[in-house]
Amino acid sequence: MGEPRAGQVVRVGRALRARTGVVLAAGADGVLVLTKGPEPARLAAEEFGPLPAIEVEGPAVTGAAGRLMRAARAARAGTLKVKWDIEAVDTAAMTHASAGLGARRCAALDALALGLDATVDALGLTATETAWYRAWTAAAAGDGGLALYWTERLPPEAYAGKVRLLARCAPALMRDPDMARRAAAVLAPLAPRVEEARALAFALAPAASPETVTALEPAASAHGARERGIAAALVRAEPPPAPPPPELRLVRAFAVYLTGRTPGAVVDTDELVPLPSPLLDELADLRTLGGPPTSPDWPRTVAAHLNCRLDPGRASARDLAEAGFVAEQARRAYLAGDEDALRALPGGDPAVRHYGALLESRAAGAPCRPDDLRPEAREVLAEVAEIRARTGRGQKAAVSARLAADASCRLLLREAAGLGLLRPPVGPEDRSAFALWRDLCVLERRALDGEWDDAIPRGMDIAARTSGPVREEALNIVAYAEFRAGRPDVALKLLDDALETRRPIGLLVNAGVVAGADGAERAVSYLRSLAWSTSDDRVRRGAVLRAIGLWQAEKDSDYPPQLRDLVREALLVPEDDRGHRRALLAVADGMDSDWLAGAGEIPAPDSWQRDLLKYHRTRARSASSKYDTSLEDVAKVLVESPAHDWRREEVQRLAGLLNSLVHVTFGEAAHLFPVVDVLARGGVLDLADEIILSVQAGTHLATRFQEEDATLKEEVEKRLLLEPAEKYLARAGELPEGVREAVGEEVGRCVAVAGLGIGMVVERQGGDLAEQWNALVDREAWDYQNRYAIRNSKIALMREFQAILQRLPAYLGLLRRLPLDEAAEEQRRLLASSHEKWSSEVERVRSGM
Amino acid sequence: MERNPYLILGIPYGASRDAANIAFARRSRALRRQGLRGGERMTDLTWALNQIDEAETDPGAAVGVYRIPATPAVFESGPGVLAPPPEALPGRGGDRDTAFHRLHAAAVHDYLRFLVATAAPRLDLPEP
Repeated sequence: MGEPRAGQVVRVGRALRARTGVVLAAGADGVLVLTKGPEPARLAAEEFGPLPAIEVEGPAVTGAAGRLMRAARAARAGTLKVKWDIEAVDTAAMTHASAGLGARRCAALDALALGLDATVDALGLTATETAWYRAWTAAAAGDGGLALYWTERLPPEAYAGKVRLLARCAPALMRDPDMARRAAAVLAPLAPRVEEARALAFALAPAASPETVTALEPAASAHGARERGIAAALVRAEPPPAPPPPELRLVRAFAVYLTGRTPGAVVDTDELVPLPSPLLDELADLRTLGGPPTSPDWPRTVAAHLNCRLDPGRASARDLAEAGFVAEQARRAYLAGDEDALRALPGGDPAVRHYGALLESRAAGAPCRPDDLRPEAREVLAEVAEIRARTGRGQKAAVSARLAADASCRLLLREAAGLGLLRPPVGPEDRSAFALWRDLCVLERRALDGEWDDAIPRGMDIAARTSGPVREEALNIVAYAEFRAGRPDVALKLLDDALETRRPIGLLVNAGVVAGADGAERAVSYLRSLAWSTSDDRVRRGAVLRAIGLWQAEKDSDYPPQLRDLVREALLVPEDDRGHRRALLAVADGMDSDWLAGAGEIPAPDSWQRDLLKYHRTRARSASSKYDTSLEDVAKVLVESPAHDWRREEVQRLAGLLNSLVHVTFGEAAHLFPVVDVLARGGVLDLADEIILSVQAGTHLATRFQEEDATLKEEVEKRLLLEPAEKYLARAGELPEGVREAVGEEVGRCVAVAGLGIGMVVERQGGDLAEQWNALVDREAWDYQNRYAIRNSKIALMREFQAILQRLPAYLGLLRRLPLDEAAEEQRRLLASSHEKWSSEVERVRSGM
Repeated sequence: MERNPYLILGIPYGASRDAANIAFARRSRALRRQGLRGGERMTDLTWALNQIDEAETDPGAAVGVYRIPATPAVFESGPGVLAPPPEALPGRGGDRDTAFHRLHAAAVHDYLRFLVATAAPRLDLPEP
């Protein structure tokens, strides 16, 4: 618009003297370029042409005035370095803006784009026109609030274009209820004739009106097929062809609700959170809800109500309370026989009264508080009472079809049925089921009364007439009759027959009992099945322990593979019962060590079980040829384990084993020294065990060394022999009488044997010493040159011998204080004699040196 | 064969201590009428009563005694007035038609707002 060159910014001059110039005007006589101060220079067109243009920061503008305003604005902001007078540029801009109406309008839009609001007012346009430009500019910039403000200042009936400006800003306007209200007011005069205004006004309204639906399909026409399809379905209140967007929760809920009204449909309950209660109840009645509510968005009371409606038997107690579902609370209290819980419910509620009366009636076997009972219960229980009264007098009674069909009342009729006093109704189905039940009761009564001969044909007759639980029970009774008659094979066959289709716990227990009479191996298969059929952990543990017990009762029996598998399976499931877990680990480590040594997946939820498992696994590995694990490692695990209750028992068990292993000929159990040493140093042994095992291990080791003409290291000798013996002397009083003497004698015997072993080494080395000493004395007589070396050799010989000789007094001192038997006393005398002899010999030689 | 305290007393497996006491009284009364001949049976009855009285394990968890009945539910349970099914919770009431129309209108309104909002950025502005 205007002169295309006016407002251009160019670089004028050469590199070092270049300046920024702005074109103020251009015409046939050249281009007026302002580079410095207020006065422009005129350049010929061919001079101006090659000047490089400079990009000026700022929004896009369309006219000469706009370009000049933008250059001035950049110069004021310092983003354009200039030496010219900015006001001269302002003046030029206004000159261009004043060129005509079109130039003013163009300048107004450019000024608004540049944020030069005051300039707009100076352009001489009408207020309405500037309001329109301002509204347009705000809408283009996405400023909904400003666009609304200026559209409000336009004539109500005119400027239909303002509808589009507001439509462009619709998201911002809808977010703000006040702006939405004001925008609707702006749109109202145009709505009758502009469709866009009408739809926008409905959308901006705070709530739907009856006419809103008429705007939906026109509004969807600018959208794709999916949106148009959903809109059309919503208008007709039909399930939409595609799910509405997830963010439109209410629309989605309505769509899902519409689907849920279709018979046979199953819908996602959690999509229905926004649905009002009557419509949720409608879908619950139609049974089209796909499951209980799980979304956290559900209000708690609504979720509770839905849970109670959808599956009242499984609704939680909290749901029942929150939904105020008193009838189900009363039913549960009745089934649990909980009178207190019933009393805590509203006493005036008919359901509470019914269940309270039913509880009393069940106990009495007759209707109590009949007015509170529901009619059906009242009538059935009245018949029960009448029958019980008749049969109580030993008379037979007929049972109606209705009572026969009510299996819950059989509890009250069982005794009469067992006595054969009930006459079932004649008829098919449940009536014959009642007759079978009655016959089963008679069979049971005969069995409990010990009439076993009668029980067998009676039971077989029932079994032949029916299937399912009644047949199983009949076979169960006959099986026991056969078992007690000494025919366990027949009994087991009958039980196998009963177990053919189902695995009831009672039948499996009974099969285990019968099979157990014939040995563990046969029983284990039933007990294994029992263990994995039951949901009762106590039964599972009982089955496993019974299988182990039956096997252990059979002396010298091999470990049955079925039992091995049962124990393995039991170890592979988490177990809370520590005693049970320990019993199983003990069996596995003794009988299945290769498996236990490597089984990695045995669960151990706490440190008690983890440490126990580590211990038994180490034991298993020490017994397995596949691992380089020793008894010393087992001892280390015990010492390093926290002081769990099982540790003391296992230490005692290991000490018992070691006691049986060390009491053999001295020297033969020297290999046990490391195990004993670990336990003794770990401080886990009882005082008596610690003393005995230490001195035994020390003596075995000393004897083995002595056989090889060697002696224990003094440190080992001290730890395993001398200190335990001193400990006995210091703490013998802590040991119980009897034990104290036995331990003392054992310590004395061991110290005597170990001491004598060193004495024998002294004797041997003393003999050698004499020979070597004499040879040195002889050599000394002629080898004058080496007399000094010979003398040193003599000293070394003497020192070595003295080192061994000096160990004897410690033994002799202990032996003087320890209780000794006859043999040990003799050994002490020999040792003392040896010590005395060699001591005086050494003294004599030393004095000669 | 292991002795079975329930069968000695003639009561169903797992019967209560009260039932055991009643059975013991009834059977011992009959034995007393037999005089000395009933002595051995009396010892059995006393043992059986003691076993049930002193039992530490819940009969339902024991696995070493033959059970008659094996499945007590066969004799005593089933649907009927004494074993009622879960109660049905009625709906909370309210006018379904009104609720439907309100929901319909609200859904239409929400979807209209969605359409208007999603169209807005794509709309061309009129000439200024």
